[in-house]
Order: sequence, then C-alpha cells, then structure tokens
Amino acid sequence: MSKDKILLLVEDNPDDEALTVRALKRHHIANQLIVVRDGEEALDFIFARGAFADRDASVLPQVILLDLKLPKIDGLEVLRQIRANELTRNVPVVVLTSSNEEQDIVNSYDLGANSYVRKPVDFEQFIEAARQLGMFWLVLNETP
Amino acid sequence: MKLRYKITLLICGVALSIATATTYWASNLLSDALLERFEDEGQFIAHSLSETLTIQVLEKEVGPVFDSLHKVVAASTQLDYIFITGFDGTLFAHSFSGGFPAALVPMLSTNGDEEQISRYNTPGGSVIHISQPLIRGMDARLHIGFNDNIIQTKITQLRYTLALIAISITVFAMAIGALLSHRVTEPLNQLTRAIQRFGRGELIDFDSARVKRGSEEVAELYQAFKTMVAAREESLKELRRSEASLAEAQHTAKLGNWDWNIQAGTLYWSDEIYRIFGLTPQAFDATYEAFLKSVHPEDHTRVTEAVNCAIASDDTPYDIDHRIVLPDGTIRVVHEQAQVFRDPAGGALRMLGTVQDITERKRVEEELAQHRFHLEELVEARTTSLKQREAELSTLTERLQASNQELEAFSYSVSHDLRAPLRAIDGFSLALQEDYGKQLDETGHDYLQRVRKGAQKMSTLIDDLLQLSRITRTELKPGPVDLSQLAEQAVEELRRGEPERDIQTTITPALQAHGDATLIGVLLGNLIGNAWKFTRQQPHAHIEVGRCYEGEQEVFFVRDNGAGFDMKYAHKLFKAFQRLHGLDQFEGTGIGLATVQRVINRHNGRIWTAAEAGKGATFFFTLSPG
Repeated sequence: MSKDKILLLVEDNPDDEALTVRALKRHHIANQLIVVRDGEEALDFIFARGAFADRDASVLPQVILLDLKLPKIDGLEVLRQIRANELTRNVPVVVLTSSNEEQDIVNSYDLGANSYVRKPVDFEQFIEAARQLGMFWLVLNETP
Repeated sequence: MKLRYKITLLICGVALSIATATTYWASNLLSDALLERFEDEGQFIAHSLSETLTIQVLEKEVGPVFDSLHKVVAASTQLDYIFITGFDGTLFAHSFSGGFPAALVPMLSTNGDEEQISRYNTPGGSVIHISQPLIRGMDARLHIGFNDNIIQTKITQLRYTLALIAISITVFAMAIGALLSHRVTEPLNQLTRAIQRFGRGELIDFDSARVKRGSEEVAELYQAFKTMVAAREESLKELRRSEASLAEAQHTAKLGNWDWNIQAGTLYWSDEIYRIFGLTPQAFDATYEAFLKSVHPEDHTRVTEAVNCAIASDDTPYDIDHRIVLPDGTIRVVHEQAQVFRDPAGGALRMLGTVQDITERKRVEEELAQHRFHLEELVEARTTSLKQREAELSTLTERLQASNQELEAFSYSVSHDLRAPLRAIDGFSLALQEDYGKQLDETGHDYLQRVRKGAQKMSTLIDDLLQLSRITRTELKPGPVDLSQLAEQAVEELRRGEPERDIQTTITPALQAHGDATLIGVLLGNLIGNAWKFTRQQPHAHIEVGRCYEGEQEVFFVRDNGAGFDMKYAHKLFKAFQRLHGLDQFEGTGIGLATVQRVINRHNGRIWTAAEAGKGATFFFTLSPG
C-alpha cells in the first residue's frame, strides 16, 4: 500500500539528500522516496518519459519536495511545468529553501508552490507543512 | 433799399398822412366852428339892433338911427357896416361914411321873412352879410356886414399851429421809426456781419446781450445760427483731430498714403511719405516720375514693372518691398501696397496706396534670422553633446545594471552555495551526535558541539551580511509607517525565542513616520534585538521605545538598562564587524548596527547614542533630513 505513496525529492546536493533521507527515515515516513538530481530528471519522472518512460504515468507523487537551485532546469521552471499540465497541476509541491531570499519565496508562491520548508528538511517544519496541506496521513506511517 | 430806411419811411409816411389829415380836418372843423360862432354873434347883434331900431325906423327917426348905427360900428372892430332898408324898400339909413357902396346895391332888394346870410369878398377881406327883417311880413330889413379878418387871422394861426403839431408828430414818428427800425435791423446786421466774418473763416463770438435786444424771431435766428456754427466748429475740430490722429498714426506706423491721379498725372503724398523719403513738401513736387527717382536703382525695374502690371490688370495687385535712396544717401526699405480704380471701360483712373517704412523690421528680421541660425547651431551642438551624454549615461546605466545583476547573482549564490557546506557540517555533526553519540566521550561531544556552533555562527553571519547588502540594493518603497506596531512585532518575535526572560517593555503608541516599512522593521529589529541581548545580565530588564523632539524634528529612541558602553568607543559602533563586547559576554556578528546605519542613511536621517558602561544605552534616530 505504501509503495503507491510516492514522495519525490528533487535535490542535487548529495549532502542535503543524505541528511533529508536520514531525517525522513528517522521519523518513519512510510512513502516510497524517489530522489532525482536535476530539473530535467524530475520532469522526466513526473511525466514518465526519458529514463522513466516505462513508469506508469498515472501514478503521481503524493508530494514533491523541490529544491530551487538545480542543474539543467531550475526548480521554478519545474514548478511552472507541473502547474501548466492538466494532470499534475494539483500535485502538492513543497519548495525547499536554503535561505530566506524574499524573491525566492515570492516567485515560488506566484508559480503555485504549496509550502516552504527550510533545508535540509527540518522535520518539524515538514510535518507542519504536511498538516497545512491536509495530507498528514499520506506521508506518515500512522496513516489509517 | 435797406430795410431800416424802408421801415423809417413807412412810419414817417403813415405819421405824415395821419398828421396831415388830422390837421386838415381839425382846421376845417375849427374854422367852421369859429365862423358859425362869428355868425351867431352877428345874428345876435342883428337881433339886438333890430329890436332897438325897429321903433325908430317905424317912427322914421333917421337921425337917432343914424347915430346909433355909427356908434355901433365905431364900437365894434368886426362890424364893417350896418344899413337899414325902410318899409318902402329904400335905403333908410347906413353907416358908411363915404357913401353907400355900389357893390352893395343888389342887397337892397333882398326881401322875405327869412334871415339871409351871404358872403362875399372884398379887397379888404371876406365879408359876411346878414340881412333880416325888422318886422316879419314887412320889407324893412336890417343889413349888417362883418369882416372876418379876425377869424381869418385866428384860423390862419390855428392852421399854423396844427401844421406845426403835424410836423412835430412826423419828426417824432421819424425818430421813433428810425429807432424801431434800428432795433429791428441791428441784430440782423450783426448777424449778417457775423455770417460774413464766419464766411471769411474768422472766429466769431456772439454777444448774447445784444441778441437779447432783438426780437424773439431774431433771437431764434441767432440761436439757430449759433447752433449751426457750433456744430460746424465741432465737426471742424473733429476733422482736425482726426487729421491729427491720422498723421500721428501714420507717423507711429511709419506709414504714409498716396493718391495718384493717373490721368492728370498728379500725385498726393501724405506728410509721412515725405518724412520717409527724407523730403520736405516744399522741396519736392510729388509726381510718379519724381517718386521713381527716389527708388533704389537696383529696384527700379522691379517697381515700374509692378506698377505697370497693377495698372494693366487687377490680377496682379501692387504689393512690393523695395529700397529707396534718401537725399543724404541713406537707404531705407519700404513696403508698398495699392489698389487701382478704373472707369467702367476698365481704364485705370486712380491708384491709391500706402508706403510703410520697414527698414527697422527688416533689420530685426535679418538679425533674428541670424540669431535663429545661431540658435539652431547651438541647439544642434547641445543636442549632439546631450545625445553623447545620454549614450554615456545609458552605457553607465547598463553597466550599473549589469553590476547590480552580478551582485544579485553573487548574493544569491552566497545565500545558497555558501550555506550548503555549512548545512553538511552542522547536519552530519548532528547525525554523528545522534547516531553515534554513545561511541564518543565527553570531549568528543564538546568538539562536535563546537563544530556545530561554528557552522551556525557562520550561517548567522551570512544571513546578516546578506541583509546588509540587501538594504543597500533594494529599492526604497516609502509610505506611512507605524513604528509602534513594528516595535511590538520585534518584541513579540524576541519573546518567542526566549520566553523565559522577564523583560519589561514600554512602547509609546502610534509612533508614525514616513519611510520604507521593511527597512524600518529591520532597523527596529536590530536595535530592540541589541537591547534584548545586552540586558541579559540585568535581572530587571527594561526596554523603552519612544519619541522626543529636537526643535521641530521628531526623534525616535530605543533605550535599555543593559550593559551600555563607554562613549569614547561610540564612533566605532556603526562600522561593520566592530564589537565593543567580547563574544564570551554577548554573541554577535558586528553587522547589526552597520545595517541600522544604512537604513538611516537611506532615509537621510541621523543616528546617535547616549550610553554609559553598566548603565544602559539609548539610540536616538531620525527618519528624515532635519
């Protein structure tokens, strides 16, 4: 059951990735965690193309944790494409931020980001974001 | 014949006629009256005599009768004679001394009962003869003869007197007539003389007193004439005024008019034209040919052609600018305009036109053209240099924008990339602590703790530096700012961070200012943050945010009763990375007050402090130039 609950982490920094994965595991996140390293790979996964062409496109991530500063295609562009597509426009996207740059926050909300979490994923903040998004049960193993 | 003589003669004539007629009538009347009376007297005498003489005649007493007759005749100057015829019809007695005159013999035969009066003339005068019977029915008669010399003398005297009166009346009438006619005709004469003078163009002044003496009709005539004269005077004055103003206008406009009778060859010039041409009317006889002599030789052909064309056809009206040469050699420019008047057949009769001296205007126009040319050059030069500047400026702006973008990118990079390794250091130190804590002794834990603190401090430093640079970079968004509210928010945030601290805060409500709310928020956050930090060792910490006045200038302040500082280091306070306290006492990056200073600078305000070591500090600031 929990295999269907995909949590997509888009993160190019291996340190941040390791620390995020550790934080989520320590708190027993039940979802299958998929990690992609850049914007292109993220879009390929989401829209089941390229290296992920044989994936079932109808299975969408329950939530996407998106870093903004990414190689090839940056996070804001990825967010724009997610929101532009009929299939994915309602997928919750939580933007990861390493700073409090006001411009990043404004741009993300403009493009339809659902929430903000400070990097590396501050677990408490993440849980608060999940609660606000009403998908608490989706990301925690305490789900019914 | 003059009216006054006519009137005089008329009056005289009338007077003379009336006087003559009256005299004639009066003298006759009086003569008759006198004669009648004379006759009455004669009859009375005759009666008296006949009564006294009748008896004597009957008695034929000739002697006494005779005596009586003589006495009576002698006593009277008027009685010429008396004689009596007796009853037999013969002469009875008479008073003639020289014998009965033959001329009276016919009288002897008078008979009848009637008294008879007759008259006849003798060389001695007219005689009135009365005969009456002594007794009715009998032939005896009394005859008496009166001479009327006395009467005649009286009548003559009377006639003389009357004639004298008539002459006097006539003379008087003549005088009256002369006077009257004078009175009637004199005002008319005066009027005539006045009109004659007026006709000669003399100024006349009416003597109203004299006019009054004349009749009402004459006075009215005078008045009418006076009114006419006044009206003419007024219109003459008006004419002179308008002529003067026309001349003045022409002089002012330097514009004269001319009238050329083409057929007669005469040319009229107004005074102003003479002035423009530098000529005097006496020295110059205006003709077309004479005019052409004044035209500048180079313009001669052009002018004559223009005149000829205008005369030939109305399609080419005379409208030309040309030069003239004055007798002293001066050259002037004139503008001429004219209209040709024609007979029904189209032949040119007259040409009416104007000449205007436009020398000055031409000169100004030329100067203006030169100025304009110069100005255009200048403008062009300026424009070119302005364009160059603009280009330079735009290059500079582009460069500035580029460098700003670079700075932006750099800041962004710093905030993301510089922090990434710190996250790794801090994150994995935490992971090591949590996952492998049991394998480390106390010293190992202490080292790990220091590694984490170092990473966190560097992260704070990066945040502070980014804020400092952001304050300089971001565009100012001025508006009304509620400082009280921002201060409350800052305090609230600090309380959340350290809920256990007991700090009393006093914030004056409704502190209003004009500025950038975000930047002022950063400013208050830093100042109140500092106050919060430096009162940590104070058991009863108090932070106050308020306002005071320096003249009319609003001064805000943040005051605490914390550690304070020595004022001799005050000049170092607002420089980046300067700290007055050891890190072991109070943490900090030394960037907060530098940031505060930049916010103040961007609002053109001032900031200063009052502090004493151990007794707290007050930061005063203004948010506008004072």
